[in-house]
This record gives sequence, C-alpha cells and structure tokens, in this order.
Amino acid sequence: MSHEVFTDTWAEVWAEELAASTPYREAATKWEGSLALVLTADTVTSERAVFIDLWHGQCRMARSASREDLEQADFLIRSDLATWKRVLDNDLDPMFGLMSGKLQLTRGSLAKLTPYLTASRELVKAAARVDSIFPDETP
Amino acid sequence: MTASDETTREYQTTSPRGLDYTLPPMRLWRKAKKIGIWNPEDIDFSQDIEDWRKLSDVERDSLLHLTSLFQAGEESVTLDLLPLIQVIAAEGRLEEEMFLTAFLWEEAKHVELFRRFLDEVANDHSDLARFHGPNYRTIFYQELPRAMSRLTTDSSPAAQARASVTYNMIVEGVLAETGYFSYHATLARNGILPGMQQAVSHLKSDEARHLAYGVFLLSRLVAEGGDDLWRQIEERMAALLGPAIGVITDFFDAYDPMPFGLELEEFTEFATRQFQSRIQRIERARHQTLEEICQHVDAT
Repeated sequence: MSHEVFTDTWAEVWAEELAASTPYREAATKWEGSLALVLTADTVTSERAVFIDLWHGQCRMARSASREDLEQADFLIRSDLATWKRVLDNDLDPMFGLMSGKLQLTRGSLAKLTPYLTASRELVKAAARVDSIFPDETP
Repeated sequence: MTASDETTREYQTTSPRGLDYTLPPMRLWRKAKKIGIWNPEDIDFSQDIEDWRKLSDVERDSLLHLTSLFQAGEESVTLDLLPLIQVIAAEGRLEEEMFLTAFLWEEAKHVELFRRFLDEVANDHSDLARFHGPNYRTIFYQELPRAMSRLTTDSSPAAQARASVTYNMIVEGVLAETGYFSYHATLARNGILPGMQQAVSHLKSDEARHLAYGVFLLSRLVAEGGDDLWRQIEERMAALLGPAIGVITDFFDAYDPMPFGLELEEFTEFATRQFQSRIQRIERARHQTLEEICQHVDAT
C-alpha cells in the first residue's frame, strides 16, 4: 500500500522499517537527537514535514511534523520535491546531498552529523523502502 | 620517428593556431609562473625549531599526526599525477599540459617542504604511517592510486572524470585545502611556527590553482559528456565523501581535549562551503558550451 510522503502513516511505516533494520540499529548506537525533513512548497504542493526522534538505534517517535516539532528538532533538512524524490529513490546520497547543498541543513551542523554518516545512510535506505507516493502523483 | 609519424604529426605552436592564452589552464599557467615559484629551501624554520621545543607532548603529537597526513598526501599526488598528464598530452591539449607541468612541480615542492619540517623542526625519523587510519588508507593507499593508474589503460572521459574527482575534488578539495586552511588558521591564532605559516600560505595558493584546473577539467568533460558523465561524477563523489570526511573525524577522535583549540566545525563548514561552490559550477556545465565554461571558470 502506498503512503503519501511525510504524512503520519508514512512516518509510522518508516519507523517500522527502522525498527526492522539491523544495520541501522548497529550504526546508530550513539545517535541521540531528533530530525525533521521538510518538503518545501512549490506550485504543486504546500510545505510539509516529517519529524523523527532517534535514540541509540531506536525510533522513539515518528509523525508528520507539527510547528513545535520543527522548532525543537535537533537537525532540520529542507529540500524541494524533485530532490526528495531522488533521495527516497536511493538516487541521491544523503552526504553528497548535504555537501552539495541540494539538501539544506538549516539547523544542526554537518560536524555533528558526520559521526553518524553510516546511520544517516541507513535512515535513508529505510525511508526508501516505504512504498511512497508524492504530492504530484496523488490521483 | 617513423615516416608515418612525420606525415601525421602537426605542431600547434608553429601553426596559425599558436597558443590560446584565453583558456583557463593558460591563465593558471601564467599565474603559476608569477606566484608559484617559491622555494621550500628558503623557508626560515629557525623560530619554528624554538617553538617546537616549547610545545607539550600532545601538541607535538597532534602536529606530527597532521604533518604525516599532509606529507604522505603530497607524496601520493606527486606520484599519481603523471598518467593524467600523459592522457592530456595524448589528446593534444598543449595549454593544459603546460599548466600540468607546473602543477606537478608544485606538488613535488610540497613533498620537500613537509619533509624539511619533519627533518629540521620535528626532528622525527620514525614511521609516521602509524597515523594513517582506515579512512586515510582507503583514499590514499587505494582509491587515488587506482583511479590515476587506470588512466594508463583507459583514457575515456569517464575514467578521466573518475580520476579528477578523486584527485581534485576529494583529495585536494575536501582534504588538502580544508586541512591547510585550518592548519594555517590554528598556527596563526596560537602565534607559533611562523616558517610553517609562511609555507602553508604558499601551499594554499598553489592548491587553489590546482583546484581551479580540476573544476575546469570536470566542467569540460561534463559539457562534452552530458548528463551521463555528470551522474558518474556524482556517484564517485558520493562514494568518496564518507572516507574523506572520515579522515577528518578520525583525526579529531584521536585527541580529547583537542590541542590548539582546533574545532571540527571549522573544518566541515569550510569544506562544505568550498565543495558546494565547485560542484554547482561543474553541474552547470551540463547546459554550457566550452566557450561559456572558459568564461566562467575562475582562474584563481
């Protein structure tokens, strides 16, 4: 079943994928902090975001982000629809995305993310396993 | 020379074509002749020797560690550049080859400079490979030599792009330029090793020209090779960014607290800023002509 990206149900399935991912758990044993991914508005879609709270390899919370979630997330990454599609198709490496500016880290620093490079990649791989549908693909 | 060679070879500089001084590599060549002529033997290390004696053990260890990364890195880029020069020469790109001769000469001077520092300032003759961790070995013992030596059997645009991404964008861009920027800032902030500060200023200037050539080369390859080549460049960068960033974090993980007030943030912010600006210029080449690239590549 397809889930529209960054909705509550999409976030729940992402959390299930993370819980089932041994590589993620092993890579994220020291990760403490929350992450919000923001899909910026364009002519097709309004802005939407997903919030995920991560703690030592466990996903403690995953949901469509509220305003409070966006204010308190340790890391905030923003990008447009085309870029998120590439990320969730496993077509754009997250570290390359951040270094090249295709993914904009608007809160948190790359220095704090770099120790979790493998965990970040596993996070993205888990998200890519969610059967996703994008705003411009909804019937 | 065979009879066949005599009939097929043409000399550019005795033809109406002459030399194209507007090409970015030619502008870089002219700059190299003016500001790249410093002599490693002229660097005065006398105060550095005094300063070194006053450093704590952990401060000396961290500087030896950094120097070992720079030293082997410079040796590697000196040893590994030749196949690219041969490919460029075989394609008849005389202006590029002329700059690459300065490029290689400058890398050799960097090797001499760091060895002088180890011999005369640190007075260290131990095996410094102990500082080369797994990420460093991935880049400098495997990926760089392999990507460059592959050019001896495969001179395709894809192989050239793979070599240039590894050499220019990752080794020189993410690692050397970032390392020298932070190293120089640290020495200046702490008011130590004035000879090395002067030398690193020269290194930064040299590396800026090398990187400008790398951006030009990759932009030219992308303009000629289109989206397929760009995708290969992107994939190669994605594959190497992990170990490259790992080289930086491995160094910081080795010290707690970190001597001299060195901060990981300073390294990563500078590396990201520089990487972003270059990668965006190379990506733009997908929609540019060679003439447009020649106008836009900054001959630093």
